[in-house]
Amino acid sequence: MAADDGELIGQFRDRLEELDGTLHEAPSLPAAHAIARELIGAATVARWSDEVLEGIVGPEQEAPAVDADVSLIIADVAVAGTGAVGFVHRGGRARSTGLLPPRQVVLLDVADLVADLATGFAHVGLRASPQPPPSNVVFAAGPSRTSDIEQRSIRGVHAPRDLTVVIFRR
Amino acid sequence: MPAPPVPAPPVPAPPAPAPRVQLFVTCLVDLLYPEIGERTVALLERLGCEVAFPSTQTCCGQPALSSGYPRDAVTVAERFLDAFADTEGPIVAPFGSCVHMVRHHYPRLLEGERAAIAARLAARTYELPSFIVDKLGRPAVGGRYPGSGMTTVAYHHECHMRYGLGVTAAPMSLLRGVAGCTIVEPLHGGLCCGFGGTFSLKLTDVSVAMADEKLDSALGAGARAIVSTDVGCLMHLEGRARRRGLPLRVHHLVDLLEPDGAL
Amino acid sequence: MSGLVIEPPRRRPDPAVTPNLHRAAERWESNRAEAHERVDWEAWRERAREIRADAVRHLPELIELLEARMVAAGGSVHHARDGEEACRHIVRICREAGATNAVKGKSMTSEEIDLGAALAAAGIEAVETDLGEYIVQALGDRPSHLLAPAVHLNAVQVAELFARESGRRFDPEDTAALVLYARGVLRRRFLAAEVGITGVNLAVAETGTLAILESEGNIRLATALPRIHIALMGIEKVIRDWAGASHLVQMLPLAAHGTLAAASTSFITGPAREGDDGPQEVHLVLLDGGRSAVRGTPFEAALHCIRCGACLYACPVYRQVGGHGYGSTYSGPIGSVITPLLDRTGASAELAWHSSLCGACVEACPVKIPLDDQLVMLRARAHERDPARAEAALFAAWARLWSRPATYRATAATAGRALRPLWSALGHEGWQRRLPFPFSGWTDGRDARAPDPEPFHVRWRRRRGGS
Repeated sequence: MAADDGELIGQFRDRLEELDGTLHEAPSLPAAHAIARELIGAATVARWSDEVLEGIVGPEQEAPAVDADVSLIIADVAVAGTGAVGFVHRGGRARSTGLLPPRQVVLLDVADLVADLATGFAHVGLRASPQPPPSNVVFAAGPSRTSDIEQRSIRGVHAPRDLTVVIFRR
Repeated sequence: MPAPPVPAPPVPAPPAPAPRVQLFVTCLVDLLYPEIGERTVALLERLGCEVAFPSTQTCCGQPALSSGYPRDAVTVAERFLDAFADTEGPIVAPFGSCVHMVRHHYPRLLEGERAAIAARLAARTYELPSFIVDKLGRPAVGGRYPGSGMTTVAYHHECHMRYGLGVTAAPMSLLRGVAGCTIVEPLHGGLCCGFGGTFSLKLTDVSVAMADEKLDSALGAGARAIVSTDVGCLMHLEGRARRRGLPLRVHHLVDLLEPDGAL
Repeated sequence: MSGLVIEPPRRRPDPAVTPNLHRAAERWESNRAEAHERVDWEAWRERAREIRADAVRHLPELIELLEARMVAAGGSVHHARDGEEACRHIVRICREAGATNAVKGKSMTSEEIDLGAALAAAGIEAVETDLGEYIVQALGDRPSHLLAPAVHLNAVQVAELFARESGRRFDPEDTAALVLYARGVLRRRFLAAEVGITGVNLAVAETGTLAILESEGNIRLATALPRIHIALMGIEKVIRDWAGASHLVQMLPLAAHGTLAAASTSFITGPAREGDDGPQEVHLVLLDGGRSAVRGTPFEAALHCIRCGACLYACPVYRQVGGHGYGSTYSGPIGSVITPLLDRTGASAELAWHSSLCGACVEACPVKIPLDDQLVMLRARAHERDPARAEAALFAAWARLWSRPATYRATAATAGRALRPLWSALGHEGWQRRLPFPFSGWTDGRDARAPDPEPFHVRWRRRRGGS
């Protein structure tokens, strides 16, 4: 996939931006951390427990999801063809973390970027197998939005009002 | 968006095979708009066709089918089969909705051997614009809108032609060949005008509201005339325009294809 | 007030909703036109139709597989023959858990079974959390579109509602403030809820997974925070496998909004696992509600519907009468088809006439349901079940007369000779302003074209001789 990275990332960026999401590219994990740190600034953060997310903000900035300004989470997959990012919720990766704060910063390993949705499903275990798939997988294509009042599109009605993805290489 | 295609060079007149055409005049044209039938004949003859009129034809049966009386529709459809089964050559009608009945509904409505006959007839039945443009290879046949100067017209795509038969390009192609008129696209151009056969009697107020939108959007786009090939739509739209006293004329496409603007 | 059939359909346009519906439909049209440039729409439709047709054809075995897989993942499955039984299941699940506080995601199936009334009667408070549904519920109104429940309302009505609720003032033009207010109210409800009740867009049999698409994030909240998740689904929503799912979860938003992905799509396979913060119980209530009886009939394709709402926007009659004009939970062309099919009372048979049969719905349908043909067949079925004798006699007589050239011509000649001079004498160039019953409906709003005294067949014979 390495040879096609650039093209795939370009396609993902185009689709994500059409959906009002934002993409940052980082050449390394430390570089991704620096971008995330800048995006978060002084805001309070709720995050998943994963070593990829260690050391971006100090414990003094962390808060429970219900009070936090920003969530800091990881995309388990991203689909270049649709611009969606997928989250596999499980122990240490709570559903509410990426859901309750009004903003979210999502780290994405370039190895988890796939071309199409069918590949994306298989990538996160949504396929026939002797074991059941994960209990909860969410694909998010851009921020949450509503058009229920006179078709005026407004972001962030229940879930985060923005979606910022930082894609990095290991 | 791809770049607009380079205009095709005018298609040369085909090596005149003078096909024999069976005219399926349709009951509404026969009884209410006989001059549309006559203009259809004149046009086909001008284009080199020999026109025959199977004299035992009546109606296609659509009013009964769409009103929920398929058996009565079959009774009348049988007449169409009898009238046309032993004829040869394309069957051409100036009314797309009836062609939709023959092409789409007959093969399912009729049974056994009659279904096979219906399928063969369906395969050779055409509405006038597609027959001229696609079968005769004539993307334009001239004609002029009557009167001096330019008249702004809106084309109403009848639904059974647009959605049922998938025909939109052929009538527009012929209309673009008419001198003395400019064509506008009104708002909601794709919507039904509200005729719908017995719909116009069952949900009268809705039917009329739909006609009003069609007429108002045509006027709003600057049109002074509406052109279509569906006699039902024409009757409905003109009937409403007259009732409201609107400055809009309503024409069958074939009216405009007369060589000298004879309207 | 909900239920499959609520009141008789209305036969008049509703000028209060038409501008809103035109605006929504135009937005849908332009999004759709863009989207169609991205995919091979016809090939996509055919693939979607195949997936749905396969599912409905093999429905019993797929439902069995879905249940087995879901139970293996720790979920519970409850079968309901009709709406009442489905409501009883849901109320029982809440009672057994001692729950009285529920948040609801948007579900037309819950409207079909009038779940709101059943929950209220059982003392369970269930708040709608989709913004449009919340507005409609707070107004004591009901949804008017499959996906855009409040499409018939305008911002002024919403601002007034929120002002009454909160005692604050809202500027109808400040949509963001209206949305922010609703977010705050509903966030508190989410945090307090014991039960989340949602619909289901499709279920993947091979793994027992429920897929739910949404824009707002309320489904994610309703399936993350409460300790019980109850999903309500019509049995026909099951599909075979993930290959089909990957197509339909793109096709549904494409047909509905012109986008290839919903803002959020949740895939749920059983309750939360060890250490996860999701619900401890996941229940699937499977509603038959007359669907099985449609299988194997000429109407089976109606069960292929994925509830995208495209046929509603495409329909000129829907734009005039609005969703409420159908008097049933499911409106528009698909509502006019499935309501009479699922309704055992026969009360909704008239819906088959709520269409001009223009076919715009068929072109819009992502699974190619022949809605116009089905409406025509439903009209015939309605006449078989409840003959309209006078009209039937009229058509029978007409068919006898018009199936013979001689009598066809005789009626034409009579009408032309008798009427045209009379009408011309009244001075309307072949157009008349009044017709007697049963054609008086025509002249209520339109002038009528008179038969020509010399029909085409007479002119032809005169000029060319017999042929």
